[in-house]
Amino acid sequence: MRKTIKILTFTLVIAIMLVALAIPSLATNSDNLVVDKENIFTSYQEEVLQTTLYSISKKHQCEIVVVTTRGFGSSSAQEYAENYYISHGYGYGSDFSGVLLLISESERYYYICTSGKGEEAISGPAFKKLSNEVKSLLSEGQYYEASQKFAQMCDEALVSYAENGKPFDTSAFITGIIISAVIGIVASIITILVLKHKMNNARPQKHASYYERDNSFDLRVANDIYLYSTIRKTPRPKSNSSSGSRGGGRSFGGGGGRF
Amino acid sequence: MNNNTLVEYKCPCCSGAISFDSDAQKLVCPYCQTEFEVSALKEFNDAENEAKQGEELNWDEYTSESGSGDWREDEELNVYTCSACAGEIVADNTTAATFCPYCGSPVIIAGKLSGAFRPDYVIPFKMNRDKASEAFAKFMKRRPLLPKDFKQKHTVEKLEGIYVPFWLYNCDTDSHIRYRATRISRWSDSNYNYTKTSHFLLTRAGTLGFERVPADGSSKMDDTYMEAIEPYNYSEMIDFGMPYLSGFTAEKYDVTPSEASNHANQRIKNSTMDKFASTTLGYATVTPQSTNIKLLNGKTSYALLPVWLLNTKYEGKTYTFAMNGQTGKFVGELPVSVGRCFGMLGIIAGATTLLGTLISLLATLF
Repeated sequence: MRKTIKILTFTLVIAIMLVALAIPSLATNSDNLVVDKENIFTSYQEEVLQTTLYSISKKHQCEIVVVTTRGFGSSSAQEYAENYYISHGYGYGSDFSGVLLLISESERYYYICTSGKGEEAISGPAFKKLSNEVKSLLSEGQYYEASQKFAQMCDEALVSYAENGKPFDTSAFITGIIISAVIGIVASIITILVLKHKMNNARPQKHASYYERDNSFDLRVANDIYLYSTIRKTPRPKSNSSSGSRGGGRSFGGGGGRF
Repeated sequence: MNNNTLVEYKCPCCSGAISFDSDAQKLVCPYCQTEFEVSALKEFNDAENEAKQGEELNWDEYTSESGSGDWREDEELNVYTCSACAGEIVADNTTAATFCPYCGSPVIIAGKLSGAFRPDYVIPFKMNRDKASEAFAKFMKRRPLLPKDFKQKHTVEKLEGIYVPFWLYNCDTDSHIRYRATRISRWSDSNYNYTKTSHFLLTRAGTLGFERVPADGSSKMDDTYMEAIEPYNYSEMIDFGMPYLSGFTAEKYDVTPSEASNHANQRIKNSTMDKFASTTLGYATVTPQSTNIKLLNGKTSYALLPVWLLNTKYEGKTYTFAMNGQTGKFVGELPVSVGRCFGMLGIIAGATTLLGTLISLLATLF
């Protein structure tokens, strides 16, 4: 009897532990948030990073991922990052919200791609700041610290986004001002030229239609003779699928470079 | 009557100098306000002249230019003596009606208008001096680019009602024109886009009549201005009579009909081309290949048409304006203020930029 109870309790504990372990993986949409293919993190660093990234992702419903790899194969870093993001099903919600940091120690290249809410929250000057901070830490060889900084800054940007909405896009604002100034100048030049033209209405007459005698127009001959035709044919451009099969027409924001 | 007689129309009532009133379309005496029909006064004047034959003969002996005014083309100015005050009237070779500078009586230099130069028609003035000033004031209204002080600082140097000599051309055109035309159709199949261009040869021939195409016969009058005030309403054009000139200045022609016809012919040709071109519809492109336009049955008449001329000076420069003395159409060139141009540029560009800034601010925040 005591033995049965012991076995039952043990099984129950194991079951609860398994379920507890399973719940996190059921809740996420994807694989691990830290994919260290190049083995630049220690297993302890990996665990801590995973926990950090998971809590941030869950809090903001926006998947923060770090991937390291030796090489990008035949693709560019951007293509590799974006394809990895798509093929591993990262991203919360219908717009696949998330941010992925791709690091290659051997290539000394990094790339950050943003999608959905991640793209809206981290763009323009905010993105530049994130990119520069990560780049400076990576160039010093501090890959773990760079990843932590990456996670932290993503968290801050997402918090700010949640509070304020989109960050202020200065370059778009300035472009708007410049365009309206150009339109204003063009419109005023046109107005001035029209008004100037009206200041002088002494113009010679080119025609004498006012003086045509009524009913004096007699069209004696009106022949239209067909001569010949020419046909020109130009081939139609075939619609080719453009470079890189993206599948589903997904779009990303982001940027990267050498460190 | 001799060639260079000065003609002055006297009021049968009070013997004052009578002049043609454009509002009433009659001769009105400014002293006793009596109105006279033109035909009535003409008869009266003819009767008076017959009685004065003797006097005129004497008068001719004093005038050194009599009989020879028409022949001396190289002389710039002619001198006449006013029969009312015996003052000397100086007029250039083409002036046919003017005012005595001493007593202000209107005078008509008959010699300039009689014989070979007698006008066939005249359109009497319908707009008076006040109407001309009003039209000028209206022309200057609502002009944002006019210099601010133009309205105050300009000085009107001359506001003159002139009968300008015009040649009026009647003719028929007989034309034969060939065009090359194309029609274009497009279609596509799955592999190619096709464009088919069909070429045609169009032939048009016919006649078109023109009546009283005007060209000004005075080299003193700017042709551009005289054309700009067109058209005149010929239904009010009447056979010429000298009384209509009284009170206004008149000019004799100094450009021959053939010289003036060049531009008139070009206008007739252009209108003829337009008329035929309007019969070639339904094609994508129409290009004339050969154009043959003959002008036939040409008839020229000589008319005096009313024009108000206004000269005004502003900052050392003279600006000329002309008004059609029958219809009131006002033409001319006003000065443009560079400062106001830049001001307008600033206002419009500034307002647009401000609006655009607000819109882009809202767009980037939301």
